[in-house]
Amino acid sequence: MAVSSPSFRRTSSHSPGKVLLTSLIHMPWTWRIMLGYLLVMLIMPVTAMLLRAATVGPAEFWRIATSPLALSTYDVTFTTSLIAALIDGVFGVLIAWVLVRYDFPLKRFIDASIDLPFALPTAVAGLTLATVYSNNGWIGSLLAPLGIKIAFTRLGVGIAMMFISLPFVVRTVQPVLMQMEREIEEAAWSLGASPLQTFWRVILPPLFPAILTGVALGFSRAVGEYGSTVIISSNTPFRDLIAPILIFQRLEQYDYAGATVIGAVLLLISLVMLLIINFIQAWGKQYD
Amino acid sequence: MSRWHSLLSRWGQVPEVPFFRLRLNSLKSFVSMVLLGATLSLVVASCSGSNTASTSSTTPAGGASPVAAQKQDVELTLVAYAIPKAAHDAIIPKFAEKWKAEHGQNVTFKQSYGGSGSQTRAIIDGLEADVVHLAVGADVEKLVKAGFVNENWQQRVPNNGIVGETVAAIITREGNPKNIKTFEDLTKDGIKWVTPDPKTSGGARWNYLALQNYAKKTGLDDAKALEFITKAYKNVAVLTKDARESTDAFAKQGQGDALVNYENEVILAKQKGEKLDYVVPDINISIDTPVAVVDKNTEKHGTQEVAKAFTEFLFTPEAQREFAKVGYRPLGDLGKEKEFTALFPPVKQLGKIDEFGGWKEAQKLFEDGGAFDQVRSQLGRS
Repeated sequence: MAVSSPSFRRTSSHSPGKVLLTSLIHMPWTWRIMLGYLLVMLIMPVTAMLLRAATVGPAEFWRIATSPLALSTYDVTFTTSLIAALIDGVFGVLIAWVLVRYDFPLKRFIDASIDLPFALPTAVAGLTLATVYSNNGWIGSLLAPLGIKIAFTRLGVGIAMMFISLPFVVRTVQPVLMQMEREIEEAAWSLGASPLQTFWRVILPPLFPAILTGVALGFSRAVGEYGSTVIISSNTPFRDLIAPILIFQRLEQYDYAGATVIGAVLLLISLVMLLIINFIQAWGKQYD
Repeated sequence: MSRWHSLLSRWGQVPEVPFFRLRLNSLKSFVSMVLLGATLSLVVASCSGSNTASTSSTTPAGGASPVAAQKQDVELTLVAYAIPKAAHDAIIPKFAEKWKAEHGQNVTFKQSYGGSGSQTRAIIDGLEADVVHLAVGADVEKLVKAGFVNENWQQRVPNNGIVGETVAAIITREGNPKNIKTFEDLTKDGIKWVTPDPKTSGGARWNYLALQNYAKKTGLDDAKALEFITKAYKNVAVLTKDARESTDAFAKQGQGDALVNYENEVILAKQKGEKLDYVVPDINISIDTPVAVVDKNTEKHGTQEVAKAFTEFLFTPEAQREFAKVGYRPLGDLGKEKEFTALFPPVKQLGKIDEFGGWKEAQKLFEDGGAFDQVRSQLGRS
């Protein structure tokens, strides 16, 4: 997509096919290698998946993709992922802020441990979270008297998603914050801006694209998450059954095509949501 | 703005790199790229096309006539579901000894244990098993359908191929505070129980059939039976992916008042020192785990004879004693021995899979649009 679009713009007088071909022929080596790599690593697997999903035929595709159970799993997966990513957006910025602006003992240790969710096998993460947040776990036992149940509910799924996608926000915001000069803030203060105004008007705008990127990455990670969510979810249909588990259930029944149908739908929805985030980002850049 | 920032904010945008640069040899390299791409996709296509022709090809040349090649060592690959490992570990040396004495040939075993469904899929995808021991007959039927096992597998060994028999057990909290004794108790208000999802777990399908069997034995008609099962599944606290996870959710995370599991798993856990309260319901289902020779692979390896001998050996009292030691209900007269009558309380009304039309029919309950889908569509809604 992004590859062929510049050529459309530059030579709009030619037919698109011809333009595509000539641009392919005249590509510099970096582009060829990139295209080749993307072809093997991304485009071919995705195409294979879509082709497999297409084997069931449109009517069957629609039936599998829009069955009430499938619809409810999309809802659980995407809504929970989005909320989890947004919460991570807030707390991730806070963590990055503290890590960049303050010095304290064990800072390096905490900084390194932010990446733990990346390194930890997700099944281990799920098991740990399920134990800590269950009714007789450390955190779960504190909340149980209040009637709040976390493990084996949708709330637990959200917690697992927040856990695995936290590093994305921290790690995308941190470098931008590090580059930001403190003098800008001091200038804002000396010109009479309140702390809140400084944050909203001076600090947040340049951070915004990085936060959005982090949230988008975290969101996509949460949508695809399986290992930890399958353990902390009670997997009750229409309540907290997530779409990746539905895919696994179909695989277990040797229904490869049905599984790829759900996979294709997930892929399309994710793509649309990422595009929307991209547009927001481009729109936000107008004010830079 | 910083380098990072500009990189990030450009995410997904068109870079302003000069795109058109004429080169004389570019057509040639383009053609070579296309050729490379075509070759790659051919390789990929051929790999996915012949997924059974992979892995070891260490079959001896005389494989076609194993009797003639008596002095040569022979290797058997046993692929089984996770639970019977302890039994097979004890049986295999005994069989190897016997085979050596009778045929003067060394037999070695490669063993693989895992979830029944994934093991089945692995065999279809190219794991070269000679003998399988799976959790449900439905999985062997899948191998039949895929052309790995001959149709008559049940006739070629004793007891219709069922080598390990157990029943369903209900594990309760200490002292059974909610007094759960039968499958009907699982449908009562205020009871929560844990089971794996029949969509992903073989053991869970037995649990479902145990409920269905209870409904049938207590005289409910089909519609009432479905209602009964739905009610039970509405009480499920956690529907886990597999049996191991359901044990974790019940024991470690304190979910539910009861857990339904294989009796042999419970006995094995008790032997390993875990404290468990459990009941074996009087109206129960016979959980039959089948063994089968994978004809397609034994023909290829020339191991038909030793594979057949091994499967038959599993039915001898000697081998059955090992199965009983790790919690399976022994076949035949062995069960009358004093050591085992205490361990295995008799079940008054034992349902058999044949009453549900065998696994060929019973499997349909769990397929797309089957009875379980109807049950499932009622879950999560009060």
